[in-house]
This record gives sequence, structure tokens and C-alpha cells, in this order.
Amino acid sequence: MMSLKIMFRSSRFVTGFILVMIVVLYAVFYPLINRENPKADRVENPLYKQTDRLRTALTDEDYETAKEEIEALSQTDDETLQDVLAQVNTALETGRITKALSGSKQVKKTNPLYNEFEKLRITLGFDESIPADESAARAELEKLTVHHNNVLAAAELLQSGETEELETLAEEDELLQEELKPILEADPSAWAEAAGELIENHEKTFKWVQEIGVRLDTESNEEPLKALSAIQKTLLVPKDSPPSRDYPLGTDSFSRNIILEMAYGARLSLFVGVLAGIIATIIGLILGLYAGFKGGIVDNVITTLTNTFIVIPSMVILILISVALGQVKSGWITGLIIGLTSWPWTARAVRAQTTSLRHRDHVNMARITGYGTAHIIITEIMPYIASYIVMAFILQVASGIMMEATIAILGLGDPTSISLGRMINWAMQYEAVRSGRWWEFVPVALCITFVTFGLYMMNSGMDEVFNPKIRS
Amino acid sequence: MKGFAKYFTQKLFWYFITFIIALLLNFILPRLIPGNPVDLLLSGMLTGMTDMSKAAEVRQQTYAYFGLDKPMVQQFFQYVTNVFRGDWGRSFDQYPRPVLDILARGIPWTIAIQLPSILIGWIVGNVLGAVAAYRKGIFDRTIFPLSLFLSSIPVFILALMMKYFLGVYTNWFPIQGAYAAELMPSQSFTYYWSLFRHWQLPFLATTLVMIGGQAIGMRSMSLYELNADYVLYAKLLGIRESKITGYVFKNAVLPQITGLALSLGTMISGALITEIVFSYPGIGTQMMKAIRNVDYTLISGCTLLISITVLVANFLIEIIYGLIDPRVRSAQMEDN
Repeated sequence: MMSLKIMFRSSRFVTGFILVMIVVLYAVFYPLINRENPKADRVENPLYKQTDRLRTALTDEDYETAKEEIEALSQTDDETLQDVLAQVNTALETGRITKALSGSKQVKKTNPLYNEFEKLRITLGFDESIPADESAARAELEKLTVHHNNVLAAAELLQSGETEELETLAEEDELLQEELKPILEADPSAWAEAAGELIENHEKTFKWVQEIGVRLDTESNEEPLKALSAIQKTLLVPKDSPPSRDYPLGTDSFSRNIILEMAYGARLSLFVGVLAGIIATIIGLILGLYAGFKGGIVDNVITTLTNTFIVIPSMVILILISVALGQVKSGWITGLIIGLTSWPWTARAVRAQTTSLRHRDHVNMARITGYGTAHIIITEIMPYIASYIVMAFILQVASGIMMEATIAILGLGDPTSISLGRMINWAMQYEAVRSGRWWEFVPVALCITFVTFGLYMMNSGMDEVFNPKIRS
Repeated sequence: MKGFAKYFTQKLFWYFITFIIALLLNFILPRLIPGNPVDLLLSGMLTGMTDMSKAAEVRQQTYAYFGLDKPMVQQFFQYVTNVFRGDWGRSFDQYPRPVLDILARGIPWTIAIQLPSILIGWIVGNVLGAVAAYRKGIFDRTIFPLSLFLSSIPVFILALMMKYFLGVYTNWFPIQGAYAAELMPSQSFTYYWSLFRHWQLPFLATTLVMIGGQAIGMRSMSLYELNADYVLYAKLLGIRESKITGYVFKNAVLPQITGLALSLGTMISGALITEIVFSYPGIGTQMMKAIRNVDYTLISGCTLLISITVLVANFLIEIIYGLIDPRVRSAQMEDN
């Protein structure tokens, strides 16, 4: 405990410690305050779910439910959303083309116009298997309008009894011919009544024709739905949005809240770094102590092994193992692999230190007294190199964090887990740097820098305290 | 010379063993991939093939072509022979280009960034470190934290920040590629100027990190020497300050030379991520492309290249040290 206090006397150590603790506290406590899912994207957003219910109601033509949903949504204070809602609402109130078409369905099969309406329905895309054809629909509407006018004219002629002109009119309009046939065959005294019936019938169907025409001219059937999807995609949980009140560090390309995502990223990076540091230090310590203390053939074997793995770049082993493991990787495995590839430096340093202590008097005394190897190492050697081990551990943690980031940036490892390196990789992949979306990588970069620079400061501060020879 | 010959053969032997281990790792690890790469290649070739016996025949032929029908040990020897013969396989993704060919195209770019930055970074870093240690005071208080910062910040972070602030934000430097996309390599001034402009940022990023690391090392080595007993003794003897300083720095710079040699040895792998950040067409970018396209032969080609360069550099360093410094030789002999 004494040595811990000494460390805090170095201002450099304290500065580094504070830097690291800022990130640690943020990574540990921020997710406790903000309990949302860091991977939450649009689908899990409550507003999205609500607008999605509206969307379903609209596509199902359940206008009652749609109106209720609009009512509920209008409670939110999002301006753009309100605009879209207004659009949807007008579309609902003025009636929609599909409604008009379903009205035209009421035209009975016996009606001579039935076939014409059937054509109109097809051209408007009522049958989903046949694509809509707007110009054909317009031609059909035109034809129906002309026919309507012909019917009106014919009815007038019928009432006045001018059959000759009626025939010339019927020559141009086959439909009219068909309709007039039963009437003309009947007694001329019934003509006036038949004419009234004809007008009445046609007025009813023509209402639909007019409405369809108006809807075709003013707006497309799909417009409100389109606006709704647009808003669902971009507005509710904005993608790549700069920092705002709701998202203090903005959102990334997956619409994730960066301040929350980064806390989880820092958690994983710190976890991997510490795990790698612990594993590397334990292996390095055991091998280094044993080799240094025992000497002879044991030392030779271990030293050769250490040198072999120092010379083969750990980056290469790391890349090869990551490639071999593919995407089945958790933080535990990543930390384990990094730890297993970075122990040689610690082993070499510990061995050198231990060798220099091996023949000290107090060690020899312990040996003569008959203590076992483990006991001597723990009580007589470890205390002398404890500060050294802590310093090596700190550096191992820093390099573990950098290694993890490097692997992630290379695109190896589990692409779904969130780590600081992975966030940098995403920022690069989605062109955040080139499009100047600084919030997607500058905070992450700062986070990594705080940790690594902080750890190096701690290491250097300790070096200063325990190694008076390099004090300036 | 007898001592050196013994030292040399011993070193050669151990490096040979290490090299075999490196080869073994490069051989075994890619073969542990679930659903081996050749099957992956085959599934592409066999789609649409309806004749089962024909498909089996193609599978048989491909396995034979890649030597997968032989026992592991035999495959390994085949692999080693191929590596030595310069046959590193063909790229899966850019089939049928030989891996060695792709790597050879990447190396000059990597060296263009790394060699000048290592040399310049080493010189500047050592001068700064020596000044910080010797002049102390304000020099040490500014140079040291700055160097510590530069050496501790991961190089990819530095590169990313420089790309954004110096490239995108201020628009001072081009941010990616080795030359402007619209240019074709030619012997013109515009082309060379474009090369130079694109080279600046990645060069600067790697150099700054190198300066930081070297300055830290040189500073602590110099302080160590300045606090050594012989300096005090020399001072008491009344030897001139400048002469003592000369001794101190001669001693301090020796380990730094090892550092220089090691950096030169790890040159190929030293700028992997920096290249990726700037899309500079060196080995790093090739490797990332290979990883993205699951191009197994190219990935193991990259790792093999890195292993070999590092091994050779380390071996040369040890041999040269053994040659110029007899103490190293004798210490090593006692060790082994």
C-alpha cells in the first residue's frame, strides 16, 4: 500500500490516472443512467412503432383507426412529423382514389358501363398483378366523360322526340347504341320517362368518374404513404445527425445514439484491454520468474521460446487467428487471443529483472533455509519487481486496446459487437470522414486517446518514481 | 573469427527454427477456417453444374491442384518448397493473379511512406530527446509531454484526425489515394506533383509517431547516462563539459540505433492502418482489401511477407551487433 501512495505523488501519474478514470467512469456509469439499448435503431423507437401502426391502418384502408393514430401522434412536438400528419389527414378527408374506385364497384354487372369501369379499375392498378397505367386511365376517363355528355344529349333528344339526330349520335357511340336499343324498341310514349331514368343512372356513376379524375389530377394515391415512410426512415431517429439536445454526440449511420453507443464501445475496449493485459502479464510473469530464478536448461528453453515469439510479429498471429476464427468472437476470446500473443515482452523483462535478483543474499538465505521455489519467488523476488510488473501491465493494457482497435479497423472479428475500434471502422466505411461528419469519429478518437495517453502517463509517472536514475 | 563463426551459426540455427515456426503458423492457421477456402472457391465453380459425377471430378481435380488430397505433413513440405520457389499461390479475389505479383506492386508505396518517415523521424526524435534531457527546464516540460502524447496516441487515430482536420476540414491536403484519381501515371510534372501532395499526409502521420517514440527513448537513455557514475567522476576530474556530453550521447544513442534497425525491419507492417486511413495503395490497403473479400491466399501472403521481413531484419541486426560489439557476442555465448 505504501508504494501506491508514492505513485500519487507524481503529477504525471495523477494526470494519467484522471484521464483513464474519466473514460472508465463514463463507460461504467453512463449506461446505468441511460438505460436504452445501444443498438437501438429505428425499429425499436416507440415513435416509429406508432407511425407504423398508422401506416398499416392506411394500407388496410381502415380509416377509423388511422384517424385515431393521427390523433395520438399529433401529441408529439415534432414539426416535420406534424406536416406529414396534416398531409395524411387531408388525403383522408377529401377521400381517396381507392375509395372512389371501390365506389365504382357498386356499378352493377347488368349496367352497360360495367365493362368500362372494369377497364378503368385495371388501368388504375386496382388489380395488383397488373401495373397501373395512368395515360390509359386518363383515356378511359375521357371516353366515359364523352359518353356521359352523349347520354345527356340523347336524353334531351328523346324527350323532344327527334329520332333522326339520335341515330347519328348513336352511330359514334357504341355504348349509347346498346343503351338506346331497348328504349327505342318500346313505345314512344314511354321515351320521356326512360330518358329521366337514363340521366339519373348515369349521374350516379359519373360522380365516380369525376372524382377519380380529380384525384388523378391533384395527387398520387401513394403520396401520403410515401411521405410517411420518408419520415420513418430519417426523421424519428435521425441517421448521421449532428449533436443536438436529444443526442448530445449526434447519431451514426445506423441511427444509433453515439454517446450511448460509445459508452458500450469503451466498455468492451477496456474489458478486452484489461483481460489481454492480465493474461499477458500472468503468462509473462510465470515464465519470466521461473526462467530467471531457475536458470540453466529451463531458462534456455523459455528464453528461446520467448525470443521466437518476439521475433514473429504478434500482429501477424493476431490477424491469422482472427481470420481463422471468423466472426464467432466475443470480448473474452478477443482479449484471450491478444493476451496470448503479447506476453513475450513481459516475460523477457521479468526474466532480466529476476536474473539480477537471483543471487542476492536474502534470496540465498531463503534457499538455504529450505523454502520451496514458489515460496521464495513470492516472498523474496516478487516484492522487488512489483512496481515493474504493474508498469508492464499498464503498457499491456494500452497495447491490448490498440490491438483490438487495429483488428476491428482491419475489418476482422465480430462485426456486430460495439467497440471503439469498430466505431472507427464504421465511420470509415460509411464515409463519415470524407463527408465531414466529425461527431462519428472525433469523440471516439478522443476516448481512445484519453485511455492510451492516460495509461502511458501513468506508466511514465511510475517510472519516474521507481526509477530515480532517469529522473531529470 | 572463430568466436564469431560460432555465434553466427548459432544465430542462424535459431532463426531458422523461428522461421519454420512462422511458416507453420502461416500454414496451419488459414487451414483452420471453418469450411476451408478451397471449398469456398469450389462452391462458386460448381453452381449450376448438374452432373454429379462431373462435379465430383472437378472437386477431385481442384483438391489435387491445391494439394489438399495429400496428408498434412506432405502438404506442409509442398508449401515450404513453394514459398522458397517464389510460388505464393494465386489470389482468390483477383484470380488468377499471383499473390507475389500483387504484393510486389504494394511494396514500393509502403516503402515510399515508411523509409523517409523512419529516417527523418529517427533523427528529429533523437535530437529532441537529447535536447529535452540535456537542457531540462522548459525544453523538457514541453518536449516530453508532447512526445509522450505522440507516441501513445494510436497512429490510426492521429492519421484519422489529420485526414479530417488537414484534409477535409481545411482542404489543405488531398485525402486519399497515391495520386489524383483523374491522372494516369506518366512522366509529367502534374503527375509527380500530385504524387508528392498525396504522399504528404500519410508521411506526416507516420513521422510524427516515430518522432514521439524516439524522443521518449532518447530522453530516458540520455538521462540514464547523465546520472551515471562515470559522468560525476568525469566532472570531478575536471573534464570539459562538452567532452562529457559527447560521451554521454554516444552511449545513449547506441540502443537507439537498434531501434532504428528494428523500425526499418518492421517497415512493411508499420504503416498498415495509416495506409488504410488514406487509402494509400501499399501493403496495408492490399491486406484490408484481402480481408474484406475473404481472399485467403492474399491474406496469408501479406502475413508471410511481414514475418519474413521482420525475421530477416532481426537476424541482420543481431549479426551486425555481434560483429561490431564483442560484448554482445560473449554475453550471448554465456546465455546459450
